Amino acid sequence: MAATGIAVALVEDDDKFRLALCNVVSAAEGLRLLGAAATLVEGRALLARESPDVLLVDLELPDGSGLALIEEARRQHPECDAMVVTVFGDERNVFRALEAGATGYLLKDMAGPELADHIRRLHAGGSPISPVIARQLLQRFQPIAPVPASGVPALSAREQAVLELISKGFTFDEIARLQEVSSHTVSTYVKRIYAKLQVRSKTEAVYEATKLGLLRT
Amino acid sequence: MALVARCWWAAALALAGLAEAPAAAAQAVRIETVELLVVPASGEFEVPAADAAWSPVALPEIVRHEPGGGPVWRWYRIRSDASFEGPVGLYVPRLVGGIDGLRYFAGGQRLQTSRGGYGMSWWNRPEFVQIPRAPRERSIEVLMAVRLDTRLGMGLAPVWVGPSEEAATLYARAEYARVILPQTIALALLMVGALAAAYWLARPREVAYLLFALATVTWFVRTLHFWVDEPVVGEAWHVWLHVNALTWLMALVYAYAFRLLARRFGWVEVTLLVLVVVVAVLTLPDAFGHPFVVSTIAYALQSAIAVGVTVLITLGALQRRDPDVAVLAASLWLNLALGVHDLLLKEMLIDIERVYLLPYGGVAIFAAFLYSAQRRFLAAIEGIERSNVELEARVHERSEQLQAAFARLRGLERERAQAEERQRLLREMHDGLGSSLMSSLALVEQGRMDIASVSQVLRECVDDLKLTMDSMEPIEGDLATLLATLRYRLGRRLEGAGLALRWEVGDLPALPWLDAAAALQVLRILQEALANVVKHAQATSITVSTVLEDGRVKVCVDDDGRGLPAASAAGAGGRGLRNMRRRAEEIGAQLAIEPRQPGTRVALLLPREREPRVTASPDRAAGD
Repeated sequence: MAATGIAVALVEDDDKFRLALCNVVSAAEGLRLLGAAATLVEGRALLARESPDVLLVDLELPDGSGLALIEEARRQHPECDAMVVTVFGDERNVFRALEAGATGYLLKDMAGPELADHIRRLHAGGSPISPVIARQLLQRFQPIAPVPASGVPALSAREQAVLELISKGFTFDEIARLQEVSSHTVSTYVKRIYAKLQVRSKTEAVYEATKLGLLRT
Repeated sequence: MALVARCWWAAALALAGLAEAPAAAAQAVRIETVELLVVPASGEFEVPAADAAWSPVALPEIVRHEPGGGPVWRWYRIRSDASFEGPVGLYVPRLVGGIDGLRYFAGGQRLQTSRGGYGMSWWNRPEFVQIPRAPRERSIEVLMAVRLDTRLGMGLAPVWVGPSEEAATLYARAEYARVILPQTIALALLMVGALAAAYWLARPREVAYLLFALATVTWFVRTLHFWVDEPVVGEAWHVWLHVNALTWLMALVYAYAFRLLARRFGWVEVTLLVLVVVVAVLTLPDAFGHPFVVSTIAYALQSAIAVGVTVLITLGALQRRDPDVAVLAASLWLNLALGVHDLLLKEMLIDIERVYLLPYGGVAIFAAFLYSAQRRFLAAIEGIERSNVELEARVHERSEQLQAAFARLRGLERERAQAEERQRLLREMHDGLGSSLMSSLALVEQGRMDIASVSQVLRECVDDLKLTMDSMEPIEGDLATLLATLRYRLGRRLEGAGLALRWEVGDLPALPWLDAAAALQVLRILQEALANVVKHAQATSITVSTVLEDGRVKVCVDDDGRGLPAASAAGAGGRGLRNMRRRAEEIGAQLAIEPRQPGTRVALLLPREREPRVTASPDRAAGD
């Protein structure tokens, strides 16, 4: 079969939900299922074997945290968009996943078509974001020192403005009109911010580790 | 340097209670045998003839008093055959007693002497006489005329004859030991007294220091004769002062010791006062006898009482195991012993060549006071250090107690908050989800509800649930994000219902009181407002806007529908409106429903600040 459409791999330990996801992906136009895993070990094997465009990961796997898989996907397949699968109201874990390199998230209670749409949009370069996460991002990127440490990415003025509007409840379309850009551009801003978050988190982790003497520079 | 060395040597001798040793003046000769001629003083004064009835007499000579005797001139002929080179001097270490005139003659000429002053000051002072000699003359002969009141008696210690320098040195040493050293001691004691006075001025309640300061002053008065050659207030009163100063000194030092013991000895103090008065009266000039006699009685009285009081103080010191008082008691015993020694010396009952020792006793009292002051000082410093440590420990203990109390309070607060949260969630479940599900279930069971309605109810239930969970996001009072969350959850539903949503949320100040509970109330009120629009208003668009008004944040939900019936706007309203008002009231907000043309405005006015919330009463939760 010709490899057309967005290649999706998923790692989810809940059998019912995994099956539902598989069905949605298989049935959705423009998506194709590369494989599904139920554990961290299987997920690693899957990542080693296949090279997905989109990876869906549940964070709580029986043999470890899905965060490890997200990081691994970023390393092995830089083009792969990792998406964390989460229950509603779990913003803290979502944020951790974003820090680990996820570029989006989807909620387990999303309806099938909505879910497929979500995956397509992510692959197209857009990322979902909630006002609460936008607010957390703003706080996260708040400069602590007047002069930011070199190598630590900061938000551009435009990105800052976008996040502020998102946190106030404006939709991508409204923001696009206010900022005089296309709706798609706003969506890519978000993805870029996620990427910066990941770099920033990693830089800070290295910085912290150096400070603690865990790493030698 | 030489002078200083000499002084120290003399001081050492004096303090050892020794008579001046002749070792340093090998060439000077100690004369122990002289010739004596006694002439009544009634006749004309003239130098007796060389061949008069001189009789040999051994020195020291003690002449006891003779009651009823008259004044006499006692002539002493002092001779030495030792051959001295150069000028020669006579050193008279001690001449004491009822003497009121003294003259020296050599070769028929009256000689100048070192002695100035008045008769009563002679008891302690040595004397030096320069003896003129004919150039070739080898032997020395000096006549010494002593006018004696025979009722009083006198004593003459062996005299020294030698080269002028030698004799003068002996004299100077004695002068230093007997006069200058006691002066120095009195002065030093006065300085310590000044220190004590300074203490007392700083702490007037500590009378002991005042007593000690006064004692040093009386000590100075007592030793005034070391300082002055001429009586200050007339000879008679000068002597009176000298004798009485000792009584005052005793009274003051004992009073000081009592304070140090922190005890009062009423009758002892009265006795001391009586002693002061008795001695004062007894020694009044020309009242009860010659000062030389009455002073002896006074000293004897003082000594007797001093023994008693010192015993008392010693017992007190032993009883209290107080080193301060013990040292003071020791110094008192020492001074008492010195005083008795001096009394015996005054009465010529012991070797009259000895030195009066009481003037040195001041050193012991001086030391006792300094010891006590130094111990007090150290105790104060240690006390401060100890109290610092104790204070630190107490502060530590107290802060631990406080921390424990805070921890308990926090625990209670947490429990209260948890209970409140549980209550809140239960009420939410009961009012929202619970009632919706229960009523829908009843309808479904009766077969009176179609799939679409069931789906609608379930969807609303999920929205309810989501909003409840949203309210728990930590947003730090950020109302804009709270409203954003509401839109994030419900926006699509509104659009699905064919309503255009206009979002006009601007920058808002943080509302510190907007905790999870309050956030849920805000969400519920607005959810209800939106639901009302969807269900009843037949509107085409909804505008959610925020504005700052009179220091309050106003959140408006405007629709362009058909408007509410007048009764609802006035406040009676249906159950939904009542609930909204109750919720608004609970968070200190106001709900206003205003008609628009067309449509309705639901405005929620939120305060910037809020008084701490009163815990919701449990019966309220079960209320509706």
